[in-house]
This record gives sequence, C-alpha cells and structure tokens, in this order.
Amino acid sequence: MLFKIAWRNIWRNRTRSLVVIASVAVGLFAGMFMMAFFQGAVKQEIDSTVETQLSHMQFHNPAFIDDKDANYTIYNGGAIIDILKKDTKVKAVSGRVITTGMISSSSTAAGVEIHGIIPGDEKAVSSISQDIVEGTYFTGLKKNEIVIGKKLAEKLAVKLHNKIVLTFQSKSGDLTAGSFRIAGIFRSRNSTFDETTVFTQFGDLAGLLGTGNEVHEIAVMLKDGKNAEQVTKMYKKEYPLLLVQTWKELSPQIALLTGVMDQMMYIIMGIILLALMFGIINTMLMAVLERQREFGMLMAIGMNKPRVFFMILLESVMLTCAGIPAGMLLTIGTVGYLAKNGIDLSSISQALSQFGFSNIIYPDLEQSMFIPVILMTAFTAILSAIYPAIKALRFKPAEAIHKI
Amino acid sequence: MWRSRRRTLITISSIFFAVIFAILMRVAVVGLFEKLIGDTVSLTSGYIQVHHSGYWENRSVDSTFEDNPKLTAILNREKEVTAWTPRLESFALASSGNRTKGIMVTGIDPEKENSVSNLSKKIIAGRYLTGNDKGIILAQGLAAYLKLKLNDTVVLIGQGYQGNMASGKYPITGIAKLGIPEMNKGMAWLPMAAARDFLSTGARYTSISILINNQDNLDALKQSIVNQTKREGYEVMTWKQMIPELDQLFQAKMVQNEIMSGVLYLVIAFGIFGTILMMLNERLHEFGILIAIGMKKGILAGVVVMEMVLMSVVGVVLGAVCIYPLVLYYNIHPIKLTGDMGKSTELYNIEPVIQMSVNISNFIIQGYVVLLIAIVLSLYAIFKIHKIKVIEAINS
Amino acid sequence: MKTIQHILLTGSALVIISSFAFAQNAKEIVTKAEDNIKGLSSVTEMTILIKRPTWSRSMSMKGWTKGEQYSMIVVTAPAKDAGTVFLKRVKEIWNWLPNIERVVKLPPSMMSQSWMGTDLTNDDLVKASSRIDDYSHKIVGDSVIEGRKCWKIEMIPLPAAAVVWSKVNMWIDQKDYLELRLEFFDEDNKLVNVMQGSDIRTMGGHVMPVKLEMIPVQKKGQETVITYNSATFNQPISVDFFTTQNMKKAK
Repeated sequence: MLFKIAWRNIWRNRTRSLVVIASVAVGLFAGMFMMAFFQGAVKQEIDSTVETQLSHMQFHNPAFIDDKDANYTIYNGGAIIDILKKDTKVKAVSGRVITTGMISSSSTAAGVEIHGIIPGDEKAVSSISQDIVEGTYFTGLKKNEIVIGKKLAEKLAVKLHNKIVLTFQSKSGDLTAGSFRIAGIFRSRNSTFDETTVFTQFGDLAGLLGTGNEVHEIAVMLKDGKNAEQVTKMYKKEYPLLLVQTWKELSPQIALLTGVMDQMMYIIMGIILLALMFGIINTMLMAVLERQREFGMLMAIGMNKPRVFFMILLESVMLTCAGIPAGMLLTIGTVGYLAKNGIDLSSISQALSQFGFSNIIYPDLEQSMFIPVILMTAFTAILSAIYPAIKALRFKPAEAIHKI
Repeated sequence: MWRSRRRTLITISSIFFAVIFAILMRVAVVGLFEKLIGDTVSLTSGYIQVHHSGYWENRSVDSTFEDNPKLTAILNREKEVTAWTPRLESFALASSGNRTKGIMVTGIDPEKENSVSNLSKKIIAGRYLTGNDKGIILAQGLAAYLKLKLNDTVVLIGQGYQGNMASGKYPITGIAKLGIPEMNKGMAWLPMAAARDFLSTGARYTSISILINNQDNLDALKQSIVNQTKREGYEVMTWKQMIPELDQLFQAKMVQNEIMSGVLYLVIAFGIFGTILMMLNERLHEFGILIAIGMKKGILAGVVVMEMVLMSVVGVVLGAVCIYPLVLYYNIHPIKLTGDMGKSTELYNIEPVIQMSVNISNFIIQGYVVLLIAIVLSLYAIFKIHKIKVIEAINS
Repeated sequence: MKTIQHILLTGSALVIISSFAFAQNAKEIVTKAEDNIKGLSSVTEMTILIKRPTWSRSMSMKGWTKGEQYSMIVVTAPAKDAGTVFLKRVKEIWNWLPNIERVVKLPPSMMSQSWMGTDLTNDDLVKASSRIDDYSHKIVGDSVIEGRKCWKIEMIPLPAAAVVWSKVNMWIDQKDYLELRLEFFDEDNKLVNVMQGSDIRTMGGHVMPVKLEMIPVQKKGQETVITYNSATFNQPISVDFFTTQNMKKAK
C-alpha cells in the first residue's frame, strides 16, 4: 500500500522527482568518472616509466646494483632468458650488457651508462625505440652504431652520423675505448635519462668489455602488468641467489606516487559524495516543505508517523533506483568514448603544452569499481532522505491543513 | 526573502556547503604538490637561485661569484624572501679504501642552510654541522657504499678553483637520509670554511638559493631581483627554469585537478539547481498573484534574481570564512598519512602528511566559481517566470 | 699507338707506385717521429703555465718517463701543490696527495677531467689510440716551421679507431723528425685543438722543442704552455721505479 502511494507521489510532481533522479545520476557519474580518470592518470604515469626504463620485472646479480663492475654478470643468464621467453605470462624479454664509462666528442666528454642491447628483443621491452626523433633505432647492418639522447647530443655538440668515443673499464680492469657513430637520437620524457643513458648493440659492447654472451640485466615485460608481484615472487623463489625485482621495488618513487594518488582518490570521492548528499538533502527538504499540506492531511486522515516516514524513504529509494541506471548509462557512454580517444591534457593547459609531450589520459574503469561506487551513491542518496523525512514528521496536522 | 526564512536558509546552505567542498578539494591537492615541490627544490636548486651567469649550464667551480654584501642586503630587504642560503657546490670524488664514487659536495652555512632545506631534520646519525666544524655530513647511501660509519674518515679529491687540485680528508660528523635515491647516494655537505679550503676559492659561492612563501609571486620576485642586480653579472633563475621536469609534472597534476574540480562543480551545480527549482515551484502561487495584481514579469524576474544573487553571496562568503580556520589548522598540523602510505612516503623525500594550502587565492577562486554557478542557474528563474501562466499559478 | 699506350701504362704505373711509395713514406715518417719519443727514457724538469682569460697559474714539475707506457711526475712548486705525484702505468693513472696522505686510482669517470687543471685531459695522457696504427697517413705538402723544413702529413683515423677527430694534421721536421705542430679537426672540419712546438734546442744530447703549447682554438684566451727546463735521456730506469710505493718518495 505504501508502495503504491509512494509511486503515485513521485509521478505527481514530476519536476521534483526528475531533479532528484538527475542528482543521483550525476552523483554516480561523478564518482565513477573520477575513479576512472584517476586510474587512467596513474596508469599513464607508471606506464611511461615502466615502458621506457623499468619494465615490469628485472633480474640482476645482487652485487651489480651497487658497483656496476663488468664482472658482476647474471649466472647462466642465457638459460634464464630462454626460460622466460617460454613463460606464457611473459610478453617480451631483453638481456642487456651494461657498463658505466665516458662518452667523448671533439668538444667535450660526459659520464654515461652504456647499454648493449639486441635491438629485436629490446624493441619489445622498451619503448625508447619509438621515441627516436632523428635517425633510426638500429639498422643492424653496421658495426658500432650508437643511439643517444637529445640532451646528451646537445651537450656533446654532436649530430646524427657524427663519431664519438666510448671509454670504460673492461672485465679485466683495463681501460678500453671504442669509436661509435650516432645512428639515432631519442627523446623521452625524462631528460635526465636522455642525458645519461646511451645504447649500443650487444655484440659491439660485449666485444669491448670482454664479457662474451653474459648479461648484466634481464628486463621483462609481462602480458598483464598487474601480475608483476606474483610473477616476480615466483622467480625470486626459483633463483634465490639473484636479485629479482618488480618495477615498484626498482623505483620506490613511482610506487609512492601511486599510493598517494589512491588515498587522495578516496578523500575526493568522499567530498563528492558529501556534496551529493547535501544537494539531495536540500532538494528533498524543499520538497517536503512544499508538501506540508499534503502530509498534514495524510496524518489527519490517520496515517501514523512511522508510515509517513517510510513513505518518504520509499520515494527516495525508488528515485535512487531510477537514478542509478541513468548514471550508469551516462558513465559507460562517456568513459567508453574517452577510454578510446583519451583526454588530451596538453590541449587544456597552455603551460603543459610548452613541454612538447602529448599528455593523454585514458580513463580506465575497472569492473570491480562498479559495485562499491553504486552502493556508496545509493547509500548516500537514501541517507540524505532521512533528515527531510524526520522534518516531515514534525508537522502538526492542524497547522498543515491551515495552509490550504 | 526574509519572508520564508527556512527557505532562504536552505538555499544559502546549499551554496555554503558547495563552496566548502570546492575549497577543500582544491586546497588539499594544491597543498600536497606545493609541499612535494618544496621538499625537492629546497635541497637542490631553491625556489629561486642567484648564481654567476652561465653557471647552471656548466656547473663549473670557476663560475663562482664573490660574497657581495649589496646582494645579501637586497635579499634581506625583499619581503617575499622567507630565507636564503649561500652554497659552494662542486663535483668531487669521494674515496675510502679502494672504493671511489663521484659525488656532489656542497659547502654550507649550517644555520642558513637549515632555514631553507631543513637539513638538520634529516640527520639520522651523528649530528648536524656547526660553522667551525672540520667534519663532513654524508648522505646515507653514499656512506653505505663507501662502507663508512660515524667518525670514519673520507677522502675527497677534485678540481678546484682555477685549476687547483682539490683534496682533503674529513671525519664523518653526521649521516643524513634523503628520500630520493640518487640524492641519497651522491651528496655530502661541508661547513663553508672547509669547502672553501678544499676548493681554494676564497670567499666565493656557486649559488644563493632562496625560499619563498607564496608560489604565486615567483616570477615577480625573480624579476625584482633581476632588476636590482643588473650589470653585476648574475643570473637569476626560478626552479621552473632549473628543473623543468618537475614543473611539467606539477602542471600535469594541476590539469588533472582542474578536471576533477570540474566534476565536483557538476555535482554542486545540480545540488543548487535542485534547490532553486524547488523554490520556484513553491512560490509559483505567490508569483501568480504578484503578476495578477500588476507586477511586470520583468521586474519580478529581476527581484527574484536579486534575491538569488544576495543569497549566493552570503552563502559563498560564509562558506569561505567558516572553512578557513579548519584549513589553517590542517596547514599547521597536516593530516598524517598512516600505515603503508606513511612508510612509502618516508622512502620518498616528504614527510608522511597531507598539507593544505593556505593560499587565499584558492579560496577566492572557488568562491567566484560557485557564485558564478549560482548566478547562471538563477537565470533559469527568469526563464521560468516568463513562462508563468497567471491563472495556473494562482491555483497552485 | 702502342708507344702511347705503353707510355700511359708505365706512367700510370709509376704514379701508382710512387703514390704507394709516398704513402709508405708518410707512415714511416710518422713512425720515426713517434719512436723518437717512445723509445726514450727521460728525466725532465718543466714548468707548466695555464693561461685563461681572467687568470693564469704556473706549476713546476719533475718527471720520469720510460717509453710511452710509464711515467711519474711530481709537482715541485707552488708550495701548496708540492709533493703531489701523478703516476701512469700502462693504462692506469694514480695520484698521490701528500696533504691527505692518500694514493688514489683514477676511475674511468675521471678520465675526461682535465689533468692538473691544464688543457690536457687524463685521457690524453693515457692515450688510448696510437698515431701509427689507428690512422692512415698521407704527405700533402711542405711547410717551414721555426726555420725548419717540415712535411705536412694528413692523418685520417681508420674507421674502427677510437678517435674523436675526423682529421689530424701533423708537421714533422725533415731533419730530426720532430713533431712540431698538430692540428685536430672535428667532423665538421672545424679546427678544435692545436699543439705547437717551438724553441728548438739541444737538451741532454737530444734535439727537441723546448716549448709546447696546447691551444683549444674554440675557447678564446685559453692555452697551456709546457716549457722544459732541463732534460736527460736514456738513463736506465727500471719499470719497478714506477710503483705506487715509490710515489710517496718521489722527489
């Protein structure tokens, strides 16, 4: 019975009902969109660093981290790479030979970290190959090609095809040098990386270092980045003597950034829900005041207080139930579109576009988010109805009727 | 307006809360980032730095400038400058036994340095420096790499001023922990006198780093210093020029924040709209009668809009004023982050807190926006009023 | 017809052979000049003057060398730096710093740093490349330097050579095979460094330029001048002289 009355009440004042439904829908949309946006933003941050430098997982000889001596190679590195390549969770593997040394041009010199890579493997693991601004990644046709960052090229005053000399300590401790030609220049988001990291071909570097087929670093990209911890754990057990790390362990700063964002997100969600709550309370309050006469009459003809209370609550519930699907539709539509096309931040902010990098965020909605957000919104909406409902009960039937 | 006090109160309150939320959100995010930047920048470049022309490009010890009382007087006079510290920085090799590492060694005035970067709070072993010390502070990662502890001796060698060889050995007076791993593995601090001795520079500095209170005045302050020090051969740079990556990160975050604020405004707008709609509906009867007895619709609309504007202004001002003390409190006692979050922030450079910005501009901006929203929505009232059919209205 | 062909053939053959001969000659000349310096063991006293646009500094040093692979230099003046020793053993560089009483081995990252504040780098002293083996040589002309007739030899680094220059011009005196001038060019054919020898005298029984200037052409007002004050050659010095222990005793 209450149900029918509540239903009819809703239809009687369509404007009011519509406003409440819309508020709930917008509230839900806001919550969802925010989460999706946040996830997208965080993902973008992580992805760019993971894709250019960290990868999902890396292997090292534990001694190598502190002192990048050529001798600290990964025991049986080749075999490990083969095993990794066969792992179904693994998307790509790249074994690298690494040393620190000096790069010199005719005008000056600088300290750098030199990576010897196999272009085919490395391309699948690191996105630097896509950040080439001049020249090519590696043709593989010539010996002693080198790819350096734009900032470094500027510092050394060199251009494409210029010659530079790399000097470093070989495995036996002797000072070794080799001349290389610049085959390509890259530019990543991290100009410090550009200034201090150079890439050569595995064979060329290993030859000068005297390390043969041994590797210092194995970088792994997984098919699903979220498995990183799980997969790493497995390999840690398998190779207790090696240092196996996830990208989070390799770069605590990035991990921190995401952690901070998570907490901020909850706080902001909270604020949005509060805003929603007040909006609804006000609307409902207005509505209740407006219906003073109606409530007075109902109470006069015998409806008891609890019934009135529940009737109002029921109306809220029904409106919320209508609002939620509307909100969901809005969300799925918007986020669906944006997830494909992304939101280009640099077109919004002048200050940002000056850096020359496109800054696109793809909102990312996780299914697991749906239920919690829906529940929170529904809860808030219904909670908002309580205060006005209580207010309604205070009406004295006689006064109310007089308002006619 | 005063006729239905309850109604007025409700409308005002919806705006009141809207302002509060908008302000809270903005203030929390801005505060967080300002602190992040502050912590990074205070130990390295400073918000603004004065150095010799060309120094930032090649960081050579030869690009130093003399101690200049005129300059320090200018800096002391500037109200915007909260603190400043002179530094003498150079690349050097730190060595102990067979281990050698390239590091950045900085000669500091311990008190002034502390006022800008809070270095003394980062000491985890031993003690902070005094001006007369002959000892050195090593960053924790560096000490670990060189396998050195308190009171051990570390050797520094490098290129000094004008080609002089720089060499010296120093007992470790303190060990400091920095959040950023690269910094933690490669920095050391000496008292200014010892550093000058090491580099044979005499009374010269590589930079003066400046702390400011209000980020918004960054460029204005820089320009002011530039104007006052023309022709002295100095270069004045802001942190945005010195560390553009950090600025890029900051801008990106700000844009993201704008988008999220936008979403919040949407929710707020609906809340206010709902209230307005209800109010109009409720007063339909009243409006009908007014029109019937001769009030022109235009004037009625005008009156209604005026009411709304008035209520909006009251709501906004009240909201801003009420929330300010809360924000101020949290600015001085920032919310502590607990658990995992707390631990991971300690890894990073920052204290585990969420700082709220007390910058008035945040309040004003939010105030305006909400006011604007309220006013735009009230225009709907005009529209509605024009559509009133008098008879229907009276009968409602 | 046949005669003309014959002449042409012989002519071209001669040209080829003689250019071949010339090329050989260029390399031989350079080898001789380098051997002049390499084979020696020497004890020298020198003054190094560092000139810059706004300041200049002078140091006095005493040095022992054995070939190109071993050398030890101790600073004798000014008092602040006196007693600092620089030791080169094949490809390693060591420093002895008396005021901190430490022997330090220079890591590769310090190789690009200037040697003792001069326009030479540590790397230059270690000289990872060989002027004979890493270049192809060609005589391109004659010049007169310091009143002596010199060959001008153009040296182009071989493709695999670890050399930053695109071309090095060397002037070698035709009488005593002294390297009197070197010009270093980058890949845009811009002159970057010049090494000039002058004031040729006989010292310790050998003819040598007593003054050597190292001029980084692109940096105005900058140069390093090494002046030899005395030199004795081919005194027997054993390889065991060049040790880190000996550094502390060097005088």
